[in-house]
Amino acid sequence: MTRLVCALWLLSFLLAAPHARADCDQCQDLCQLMDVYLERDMGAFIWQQYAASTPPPLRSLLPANVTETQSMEAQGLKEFNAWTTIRRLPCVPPPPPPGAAAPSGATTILSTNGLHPSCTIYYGTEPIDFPGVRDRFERSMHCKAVSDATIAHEEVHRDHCLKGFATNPALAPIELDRPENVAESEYQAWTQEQRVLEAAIRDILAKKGCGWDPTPRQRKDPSSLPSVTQMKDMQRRAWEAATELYPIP
Amino acid sequence: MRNPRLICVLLMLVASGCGSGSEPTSEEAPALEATAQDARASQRAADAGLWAPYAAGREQALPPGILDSVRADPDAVLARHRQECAKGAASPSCQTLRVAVEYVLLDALVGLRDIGEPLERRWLQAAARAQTPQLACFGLRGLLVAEERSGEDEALIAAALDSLWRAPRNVVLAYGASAPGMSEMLGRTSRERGQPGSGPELCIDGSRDPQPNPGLSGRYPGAHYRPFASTSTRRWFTTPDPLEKVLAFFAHQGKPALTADGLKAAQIAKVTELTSQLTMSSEPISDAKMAKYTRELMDIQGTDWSAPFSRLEGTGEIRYVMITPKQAVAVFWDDMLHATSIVATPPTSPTTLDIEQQKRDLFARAVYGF
Repeated sequence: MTRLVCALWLLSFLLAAPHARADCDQCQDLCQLMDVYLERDMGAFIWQQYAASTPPPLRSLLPANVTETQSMEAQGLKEFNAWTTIRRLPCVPPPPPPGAAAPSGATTILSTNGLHPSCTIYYGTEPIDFPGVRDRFERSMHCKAVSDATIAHEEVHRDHCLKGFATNPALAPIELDRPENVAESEYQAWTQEQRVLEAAIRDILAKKGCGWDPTPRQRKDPSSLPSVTQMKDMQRRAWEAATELYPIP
Repeated sequence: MRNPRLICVLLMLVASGCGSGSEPTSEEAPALEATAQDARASQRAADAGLWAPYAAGREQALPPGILDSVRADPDAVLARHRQECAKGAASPSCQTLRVAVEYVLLDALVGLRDIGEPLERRWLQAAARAQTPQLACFGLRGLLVAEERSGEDEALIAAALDSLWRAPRNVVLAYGASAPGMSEMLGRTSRERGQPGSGPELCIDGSRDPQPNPGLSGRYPGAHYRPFASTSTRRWFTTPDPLEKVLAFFAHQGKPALTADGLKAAQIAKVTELTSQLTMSSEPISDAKMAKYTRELMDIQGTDWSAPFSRLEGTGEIRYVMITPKQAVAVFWDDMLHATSIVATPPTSPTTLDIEQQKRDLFARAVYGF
């Protein structure tokens, strides 16, 4: 069984970023990190609906065709993709590099062999523990915080797989394959990703002292500073907009 | 006892199993199972109705193209709103335009803040009232970090705690401890994932939490949902009415309020009553009837409603009201919220008699740690 990695729908834009930094620890990185964080939040919510730990009155019923890992993963993916069509990104993704195709759909970058006693994490076809593989994976992600989060996600699956085979080797392949258990593992994995991303975001806020909001101006590009005229325009607009919204009696 | 199978039922409740003697015959089994499944599905549907999870579309829905128009010509947006929506016209097009004006304000405020220009209090107050969660969050944060706050500011901050939108609520939870009267209320918050107080306090989260099913308040008139105190497994409502009035309301509906001990005594009484019905029956007990009784007994013993409240501070004696046969609410005077609280937690899963299911549950708990 190949477990789909934390959906990398958004990460595809990171891969396409022409000037992405590997460290990803500056104020201007906050927007994309928060974006991924919110994706993980929604992903965790989707999986929690079906997870074994969710009390039955709160648990959503699965469609009849969802019976094992693949169909469970497909169901979660379907719901996540549906959400991505209505969400608004807090950042505008940079365009793909010249000549490159626009990113599309899910990309499997890491996977865990979760129904085999080895419980190996793979990057493509190579075990991530092989010399140099993890480094290559991290460089491909262009953002340390995101690659750390992705690996943390897979480590949750690996931990569940190892515990399953240690608990009952005969039952493990069957039980780990149950939809509610697949959903539970995904729920915990996406939540773990959130934790890693949140720590990275807080670290940037604490070390760099940047406040931040979702507009391109916050990227601190000196050339984006407004002229005096533009500044006065903004002040005028703020007054006008505030007055339009809440007229002074 | 007149019916030896009753012993088996009672033993099952204690030991979660009764051996092959209590199993239905092979002919009866499918029918019994179907009946039990129907009953479970039906109850689950009813319970799911009360505990419905998030509906789809948690983000603010914006008409297509609205942000493009704001960025292309913000002054034109303001002029249109001024011309077409004087005196707060509430037509759909004016509501759309109003959101566009909010984005004009957001853009202006962020731009000014970026270059270090001071932000007028009036702008921040207008922002704090906005429908757009990111703008409301921005305005609230400005008010929260200001050296001085007016009564109006305090009211806006307090109101945001009850917002279903996460961004404005979270910013108040993050910065609001210094606001008057806020520290006590913040004692009711939870750090659960995706709940108030969790996640970075950045004003970009455009999502909102669901409105809960009002049935979980026992449909007490005027019960006010408190998002900041609620979690995925807790729905918190309050009313300014005194505790006695709330309890009288439920009692009038034939739903008496019981203490935790009283609730346990009532459970025992029900078990005794069911047992008597079985033992006094002069007719042979069919497997179907036995299964029904077993299920009822397990349901009665299923949930410890007082457990989620065992460490809660700032409450008087907590009473429990069964608002449906399988759903209780806790009712108490809340010293932190200065109101009568009505709090629902979900029923726990009934104990299963299925040995295979028990094995699966044990495996899952061992592996996933819940």
